This record gives sequence, structure tokens and C-alpha cells, in this order.
Amino acid sequence: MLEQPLLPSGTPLRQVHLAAHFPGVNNTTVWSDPASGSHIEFDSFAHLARTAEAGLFDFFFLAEGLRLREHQGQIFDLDVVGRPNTTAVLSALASVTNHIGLAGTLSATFNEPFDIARRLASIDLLSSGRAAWNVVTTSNAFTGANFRRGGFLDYADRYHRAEDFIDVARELWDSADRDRQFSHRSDFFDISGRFDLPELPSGHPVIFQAGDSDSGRDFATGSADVIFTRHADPESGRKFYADVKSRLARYGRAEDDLKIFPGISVILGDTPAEAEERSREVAFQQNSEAGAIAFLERVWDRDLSGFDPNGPLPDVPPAGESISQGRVKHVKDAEATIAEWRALAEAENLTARELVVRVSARHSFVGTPTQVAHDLAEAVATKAADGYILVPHLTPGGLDDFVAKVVPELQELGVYRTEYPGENLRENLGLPAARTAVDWTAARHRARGTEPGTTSASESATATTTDHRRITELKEVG
Amino acid sequence: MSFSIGTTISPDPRTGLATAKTVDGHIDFALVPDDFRGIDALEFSSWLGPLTKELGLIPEVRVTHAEPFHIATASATLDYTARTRAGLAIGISTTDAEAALFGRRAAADAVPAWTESAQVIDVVRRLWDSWDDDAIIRDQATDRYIDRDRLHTVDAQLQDSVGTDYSVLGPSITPRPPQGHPPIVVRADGDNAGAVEAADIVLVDDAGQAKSGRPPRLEDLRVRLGDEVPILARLDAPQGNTEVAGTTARALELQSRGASGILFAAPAESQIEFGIRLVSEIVPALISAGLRTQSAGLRTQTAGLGRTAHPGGRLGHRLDHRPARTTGTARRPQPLRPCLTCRPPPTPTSCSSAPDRRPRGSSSRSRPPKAPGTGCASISSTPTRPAPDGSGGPRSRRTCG
Repeated sequence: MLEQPLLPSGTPLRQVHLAAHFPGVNNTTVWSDPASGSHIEFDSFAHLARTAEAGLFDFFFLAEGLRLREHQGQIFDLDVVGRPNTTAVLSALASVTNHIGLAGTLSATFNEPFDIARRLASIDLLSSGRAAWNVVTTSNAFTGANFRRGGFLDYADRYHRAEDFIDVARELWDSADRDRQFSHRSDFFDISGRFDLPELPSGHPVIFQAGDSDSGRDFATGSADVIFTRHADPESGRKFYADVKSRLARYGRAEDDLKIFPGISVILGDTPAEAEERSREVAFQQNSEAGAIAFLERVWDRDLSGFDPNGPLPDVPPAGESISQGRVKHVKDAEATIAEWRALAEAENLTARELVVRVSARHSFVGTPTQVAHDLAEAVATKAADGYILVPHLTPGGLDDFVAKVVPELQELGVYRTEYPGENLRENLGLPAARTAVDWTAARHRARGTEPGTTSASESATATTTDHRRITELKEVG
Repeated sequence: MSFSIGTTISPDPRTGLATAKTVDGHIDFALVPDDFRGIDALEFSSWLGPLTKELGLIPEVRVTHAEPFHIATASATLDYTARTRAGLAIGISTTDAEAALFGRRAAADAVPAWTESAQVIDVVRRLWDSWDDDAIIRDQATDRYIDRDRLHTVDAQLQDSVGTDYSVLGPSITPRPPQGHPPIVVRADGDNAGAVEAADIVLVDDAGQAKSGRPPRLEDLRVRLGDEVPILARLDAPQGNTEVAGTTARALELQSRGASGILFAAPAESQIEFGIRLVSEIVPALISAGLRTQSAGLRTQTAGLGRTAHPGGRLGHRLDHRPARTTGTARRPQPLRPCLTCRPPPTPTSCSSAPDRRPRGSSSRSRPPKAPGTGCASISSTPTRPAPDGSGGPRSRRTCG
């Protein structure tokens, strides 16, 4: 723990960036707390965005849902269910905020480039340059059932379509306010016409991606401005950060041209002991009795409703088929994971629910406001991240305490702004001015040794030989 | 009943906002047109929501190249962000240039594009209804956030403007809009009787002002649609003192021919000026003539009609002259609309054996009572596309009243 604002190693402190994630539709979000408000009324979104803006956060982040999650063939009913349309909320938030960036997840599979580019340009114009897009592809026929397109794309195509999609969007933004036609013909799109909008205040809306595998990291370094990652733990964050940033030079980019933002949870207390106790209470709220069984069912891939959440772990082996639809699967090897958990439960004498809490609900930063401010400053100084996306467990007041208590501590340490430094999101993030679509594409060709104009053929060949993990990583975070 | 007044507001952040603030509280609604140029009408309306207090916000969505699922969630979300002031104006796209922006389908002819739009209206309504109003239960005793029995798939079957079948499963990701159904607006143009019948509010170009198509006459439309559907005459915004002064006489004349109100189409470049004339000259003259109540009275009239007043919350209440829709104590049953996207039941004349859950409208307290003895009616019709077995023969359609 730091006692001084300078790191013992003499490492210089760096400025911390912060962002707010609207609580999502998973068990991280506690709806059972008396302080938990509506997940659909606009006041909740406005409250969180305004709180984050009062805390001088870079951006507010809203994830997207395109089909309700299912569990054992039925809509999963234990977590928050139901969300608004992403861009409609961001546009409304543009009118009740002045500085904070407005970032949303939008699927590159179930939208068309012209429509997405125009919606994001609209938000950028309405917000004076605060729009951002977290690009995801949605891989399955499950989600496709709600859309004209269905779910026909294969894995490699989805990946390449997403990259091509971003290129098209940037081409359209480049052609705004210029009296010229755009035309894009590729394996995925054959579109042309005029993108008849005024010039965008930010040049291009900021592009987010969530890549983690080797190929995913190259994808992000070749196309994105910000990476939203799950590497909340500073040690794994530092490895991720070093690796991703080392790849940038190949793409003609500087270290600061791509920002890394892990998603984190923060639990505060007046004393360290109180914070720990609070963390434990919240963890049990996040894992109800029924929720703990459902969590185990997603790993066991079988019905476990006959087992007592307050008894031992189910003494049955996992089944083969997936019983959960509409969420990213994190456990790859069920048998090994279950064996590990049995050993842990035995060693620490844990019930099934206690085990779930133990393995799933560790909060990223727990402590007094002073401690948490020091830990965040240290993590950023040691290049575990450029900033953090806070994922509160309560809607809408989940960041009230953080903004009131931790932000002043960060400012006291000299690692946090006291006013917004820039005119738009790109400037507040410390990103360079948007480079053109042509530059992005050319840089990728140089980095990958491919010839301009032969993109689809050469890169498709590469894609079919790589594993499919990167596709999973393009999916929704949060 | 007050004579409804709306104006178009072009989605310009400066002049559109100034116009909206000028007319807010004085007229009933703004219709935001969308022709794929400039700022998107839905995003613009969403942005205007928190910046206005009373004004109905009706974005145009041209559905030919759009995803019905996104239309349903975005318009439902607008109803939340604008606090029960959302509407939805349905349009189509028929040009090669617009089709090339999307690159998915050839340009559509007006007739199949309007046929699809009627199906899109149907599926949007069914997606809005796919959550019962009381679906969120937050039941700590069972750890359940929702009662999933109060969510319903829609399994809608549609055919696009070039003849390709597609489907939308549902349920929506967005809970039911606070108004239940934000009012759906369609402009009658002679080719779109099906879409007009699917709408809540119909616009009609008065004789001599139509730019294209063969719009029906106001009187004929009134006869066809009956007394209870609001029909608004679409007029070019009056220019100059003489035209402005003549607006009241024009409104009285239109009312005598069956109009429920007027939508003024104002040019983008002079929308602020028109908004000012609307508020300072036209609306006061309409009030003096007894066509409208004072705006303060309008506020009182709508006060208290919040979340629970549906279908037809604040905007619906202002525009919809059918009392049945706001109270559920209908003087006569709500007319059953044919379900345009329901999968044909296995037994053509039996609704009770249909595979999907309940007909639209069964979502408990939110809907008007059904006609006695019917939960689901079967009507004989000519199919708009071949039956799944390829026979193409007549079949029955379920109604989702």
C-alpha cells in the first residue's frame, strides 16, 4: 500500500482516466437492494451519466442487448432483464450532459454500415463530438432470430465483416460535408451514394473493441482507439498492456494512440475492515441462492435445481451440451474447473453458494477512498491500464460515493483532472486527431504485409487457419 | 375535442431545437421527417425529449431497409426518454439511390413496400406488447427479477419489398412503452390502404398540395376509416400575412370535411420563423375561433396521465379521439385489427389451437376488453404471399385485436 503519492520505485505517476458503465444484465448488478432503481426509466441513465460527468469521467458506456438471455430453454429471470435501445438513450443523454463521452455497443452483424455510421454521426453532431462505438459481432442464429439477416455468417466472415464495417463507417464519416459520392465494394458490402451530413465535430466517433487473444489484439491495434478489457487485476493488466502497446508501432501508431480501459468494480468503506465486510455482503447480493445454482448450471451444463445452494457442491459430473444462450462463456474446460472448485470448497469448507461467491465475485478495488485512489494511481502509473471503466452494482446511485470521495483523493494525488481538458471525447481521452479511413487501411496492409486491394482474399485465408477465440472476444462485454 | 396541430421540425440541432422550444406547450406534436440525409430523425427526437416538456415527438422511419426489431426498441425507448410523448411515423423508400446506400435489396416498388410496412407496423406493435406491463416483479422470495410468463415471443412472419420472407421472433429487449402503443402515423397516398388501416393517425395531403401519388380525398378517407380515427390534413406552412390570416378559415373548412387537425409542413430554412408565427398568430386565432382550448387547459387536461394511462398516454391522449383507448371502458369494442404477421394456425379456423401463446392484446389490464366471446377471430383473406406449403391458396388470418 502506498503511503506517499510517489511510487517507491520512483516510477513517475501518470494521469488516471475514468469511465462509467451502466449496470448490465448479469449478476454483477444487484436489483434486490432497496437502493436499486429502475433499469429502464430515463432518470436512471441521466443520473449515472451526470454523476460521471460531475466526476470528470471520459465517457459513459451502455451495452446492447438484441435477444433476451435464455437458460435451459427459457428466458433467464434471475438477473435484470430488459434494456433500452442503445443509440436512443445516448442521444437523449446528449441533451442532459455537456462534456462526457457517450459510448455504446452496436452489433456490426445486425446493422448496416450506412445506418450505424449515420446514427453515430447524429450523436456526434448532437453532442458536439462525444460519440463512441463499441464494435461487436454477434455470432449466432440465436440472436439472428430477431433480424432479417438471421444468423448465416460463418465465424471467419463475421470477423472480417466487422473490420470491413469499421472501414466503411470511417469512409462515410470522411465523406461528410464534402460534395462527393462514396463507394465501397468488398466481399461484404456493395454500397454507394452520398453521406449527406455536416462535418463531424470529432472527425470520427471513437472506436472501442474488446479483443484479448493474439489475433484479437492485432484486430484492436489495427482498427480501434480504445480497448475495453477484462484485465482488471493490475498484474494481468500490466502483461496485457505491454503486449498490446508493443504491437502499435507496426501499425504506425504511438503508444498513446490506443487507450486500454479494464472494467472494474470498486467497493468503499470508512475503514479497510468495513470495506471488506461490505464487499462480502455485496458478493452475496450478487449471488442469490437461485442465482448460485444457475451459475453452477452454466458450468455443469445440466439442471442442478435439485441441489441445495447452502449444501455442498453438486456431486454429479458435468453434461456436454450448452444450456445457456445469449452470453459469453468464460469457462472453457468444465471438468478441470469443477475439480479445482471441489478442492477449494473442501479446503475452505464452503457451501455451493459460498464457493460461487469465492470464485466469481471478487471485487477489483476494495478499501477506503484513500486506499482505492492510491491503488488506482499505482495501477495506472505501472501501466496496468490507461484508465478504468467502473461497473457499479447499483442503479442509478452506484457511483455517487466514488465521485464524492475517491475523485477528490485522486485530484489530491495530482493524478486526476480538475476540469475537462478538451472540447470533445477524442481530446479528453488524449487521442490524436482522427486519421482517415484510407490511412487506417494502408497501415494495416503495411503491418500485415498484404497488398491493398487484395484484402479479402489474403486475410480470409489467414482467418480460416486461426482459432475461433477471437470471435468470442468481439462479443459483448458487460 | 380540440383541433390537433402539429408541425414538421427538420433535424437541425440549432433551428430544430429553437423551433421545438418555441412551439412546446402551444401545439400538440412535431413530426421529424427523415430522408436519409442529415441527422437521423429517431436520434434527433430522442435528443429533443429531455429538452421539451409537452410536445409530442414523432420521428419518421422509412422501414424498407430497416430492422423492425430496432424500430420497436428505439421507439419504445423514445417513449421512456420523452416521458410518454413518443409517436412513430412510418414511411417507405423506393428509389435506387436510397437502396444503394444499404446495398441489400433492389429498390422497391411502392405497392410491395407499403405492403411490407403494414406488416412492420404489426410486428412493432406485437414487440411492444411482448412484455406485459407488470412483467418486472423483483420478487426476492424467489430471486426472480421478471415473471417470464409475462413475456411473449411474437414469431412474426413478414415478406420484404422484393419478395423475400423473413421472421422476427421476439420478445423485445425493451419493456412495454409507457404509452403502451406510441401512436403510429401513416400518410395516405393512394397506394397504401393496408398501412393506413394499420395506423392510429392518418395524414392526408389536401387537394392540390400533394407532391406525388394519388392521395385520397379527405371526405372519402373519413368515410372509409369511420369517425374515430384521427385524420390530419397536411398543409404547406402558410407564408406571408394573408395566408397566415386565412389559416383559421382553412381549419374550419377542413374540420367540416372531417379533419381532426392539421400538420403543417414547414421548410427547414424558415422553420423558426414559422414556429413563431404558429405560436403568436395561428394558434391564438384557432383558440379564438373555438377550435382549440387554451394551452394551459391542455396541460390540465393531460396532467396526471402518466405511466398508467395507456394505450394513449400524453401524446396518444392528445391525438387520439377514441376514448376507448385511454380508459378501457369502451363505449364500443375496439375494432379488431387483422394480424398481418401471425403464423397461420395449423387448423385454419381454430385459434385456440394456435401454437403461440396469447393473441396480442391479452397482456392483461393494459388492453381494452375483447369483443364478447372472442379472444381471437379468424377472417378469411387472400394471402399476401404463398402459404408455406407453396399452395398460395386462400387461408385464414388470425386477428390480434
